[in-house]
Amino acid sequence: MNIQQKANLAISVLFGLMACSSQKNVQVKTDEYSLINFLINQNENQKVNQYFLDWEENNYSTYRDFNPSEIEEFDFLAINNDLDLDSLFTLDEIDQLKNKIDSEKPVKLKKSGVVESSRLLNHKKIDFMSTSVMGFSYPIIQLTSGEKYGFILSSFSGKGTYYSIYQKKDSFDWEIIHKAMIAIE
Amino acid sequence: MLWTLTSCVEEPEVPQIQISENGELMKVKSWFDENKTKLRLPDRDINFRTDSHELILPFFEKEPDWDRFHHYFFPDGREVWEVNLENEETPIFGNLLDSIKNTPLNEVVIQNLMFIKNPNEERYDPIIARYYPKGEIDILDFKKMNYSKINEYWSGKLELFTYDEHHFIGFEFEEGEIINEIRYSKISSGSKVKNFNNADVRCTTYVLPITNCVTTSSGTSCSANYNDLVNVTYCTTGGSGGNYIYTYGRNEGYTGGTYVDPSGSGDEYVVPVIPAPETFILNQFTNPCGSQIFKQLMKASIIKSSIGNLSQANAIIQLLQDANDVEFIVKNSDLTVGTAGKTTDTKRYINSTSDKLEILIEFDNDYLESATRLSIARTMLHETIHAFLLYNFFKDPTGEFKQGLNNFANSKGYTDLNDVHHNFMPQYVDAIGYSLATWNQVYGNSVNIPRSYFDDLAWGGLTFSQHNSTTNQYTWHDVFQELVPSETERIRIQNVINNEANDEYSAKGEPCN
Repeated sequence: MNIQQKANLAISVLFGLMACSSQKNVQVKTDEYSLINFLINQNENQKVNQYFLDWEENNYSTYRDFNPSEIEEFDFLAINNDLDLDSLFTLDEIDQLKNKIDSEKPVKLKKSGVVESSRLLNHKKIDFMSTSVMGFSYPIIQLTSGEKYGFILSSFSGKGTYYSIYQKKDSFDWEIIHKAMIAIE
Repeated sequence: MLWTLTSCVEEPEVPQIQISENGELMKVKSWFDENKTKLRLPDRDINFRTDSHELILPFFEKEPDWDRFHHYFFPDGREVWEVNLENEETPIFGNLLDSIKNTPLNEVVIQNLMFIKNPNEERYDPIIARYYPKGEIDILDFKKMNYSKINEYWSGKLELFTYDEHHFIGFEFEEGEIINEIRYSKISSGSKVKNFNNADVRCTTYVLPITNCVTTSSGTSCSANYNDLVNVTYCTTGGSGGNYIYTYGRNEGYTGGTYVDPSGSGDEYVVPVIPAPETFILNQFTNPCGSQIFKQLMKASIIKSSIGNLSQANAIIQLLQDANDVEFIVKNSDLTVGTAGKTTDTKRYINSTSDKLEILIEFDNDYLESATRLSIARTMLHETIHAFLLYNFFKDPTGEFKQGLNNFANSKGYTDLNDVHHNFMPQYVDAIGYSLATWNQVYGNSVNIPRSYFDDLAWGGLTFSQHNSTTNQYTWHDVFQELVPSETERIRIQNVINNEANDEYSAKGEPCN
């Protein structure tokens, strides 16, 4: 390798590092993180678990699991418990949703995606019974013509785990259209 | 950045129980109604029943209760319908039920007909399965157990018979493990006979030797002990008795632990080959300490014993009594940070006619490492009561209990099930405290702990809905605030709970490790 080649390599490495550094500073602004931030803001006193809840470990692995009208949950106070996704989406949209359900999902929240990143908890050791922590699954966002829906699991220590479906209203606001407790603590 | 691959490997295909299973069951019923008079093994000679060395019970017509059934598959894929018998006649063997007195037989012994679907023909050849509990705590409801699902809390004997009452094989269980295979034979000089009657049950008892076969990893070894006679008693409840003759003999078709039809004609009763019964492990703890504490709570029937300490409404006592009917799985897992334990239902597609509900209780691995045994026992009782409540919702979805909780939620203005459970459950604080004290007395390390300490601890999980770690302020649950109006007292109780949960210096329990 001659001097010119070495210089080119050094420059490319430098630019690569700068690109990585630059990426870290760019706040992640996606619908997924929009929904997560919306929920974090609603529970201002709680720490946020940086690790996502696993959909499959919570028994959400097929389209049927996601469709409230097909599930008999124990939560008799559920919001819109009979919501039927079949009536909300076209067959094509349902296929898209199924693909998203089957897709790989991140295991950890990006610090750069969370508005209040100081609340993130990235270690497991805490005082049990005296630290309130909330956690989420990686949201699944489904589009229809002009509408956006978000599917998410959220857990709150001392309370339980909930499955919710939200409809996006604007850049920051989501409206809940279904919520059911799936596990209690 | 950490990424993970979601598993894309499909589970092996397991036959699914469809919503049409009632329709399938009706096919079994039709076949049985049409064929029940033919379900006899071929007679080998005219005196077979009297000269045979085989144990054959008197035949009685079987009356299946088609509303009570289990549906499952043998490991080789054959479909099985196990239907409860509503007959009042209950055969009893010798000392099978010596430890259980004063309980009506039809509440003690479960008698089922297993209809095993022939893979090649449209027929469902039956085997009788009789479950004899070892002690009072092993008396189970029909729904709790079947041939493919015997849990580790059950001890007793499972005896199998052909439809026409030839003894097939028996299994002795000790806490869900098969410890013996059992076959019966009689002494060559013939059976001794004695008869007795009592007010409720008419019984005829015969004395026979028993052959025990012990199954080990190296195989099965059998020994007939002619000095160890076994009573064989046949009882009918409320009936007039009958001409019962017990004989025994080697079935010609005996092959490797199963009977087959020696005639092979296909039209007659074919006694199907069956696998060994399967155990269903409810206690799935891999954490030995967690497993031990749970077993101790279950074994001692502490939950049930706490009933005696309650003076509350009958409905609550009934709820606690239902504890033994709840089929719940317990295990340890990596739960989300801050979660000690949680309860959920694992079978989310419940077929109300077939009782397929399972409730899962999970305990966090970190919590099991950091908490005292006393705290863990407390969390187990807390989660168990959640399980009772969930169970009751499913058991009677339109019933008074659920309606009562609904009314409770409405009157308090609760819109979240968490608020309903955790403000309703303080009714069980006495029971939890009593149970913890009892558990500690038997299994705990610490003596001289006042009862009030256990009552404080019993509030765990019921005190607050949120804690602000910055300001150290709690958002207390309504009922805790009502029943413990002093903030100082609430903080004191909360500190007791926290100390045990984190094995702090002032904790009175000891850690698992």
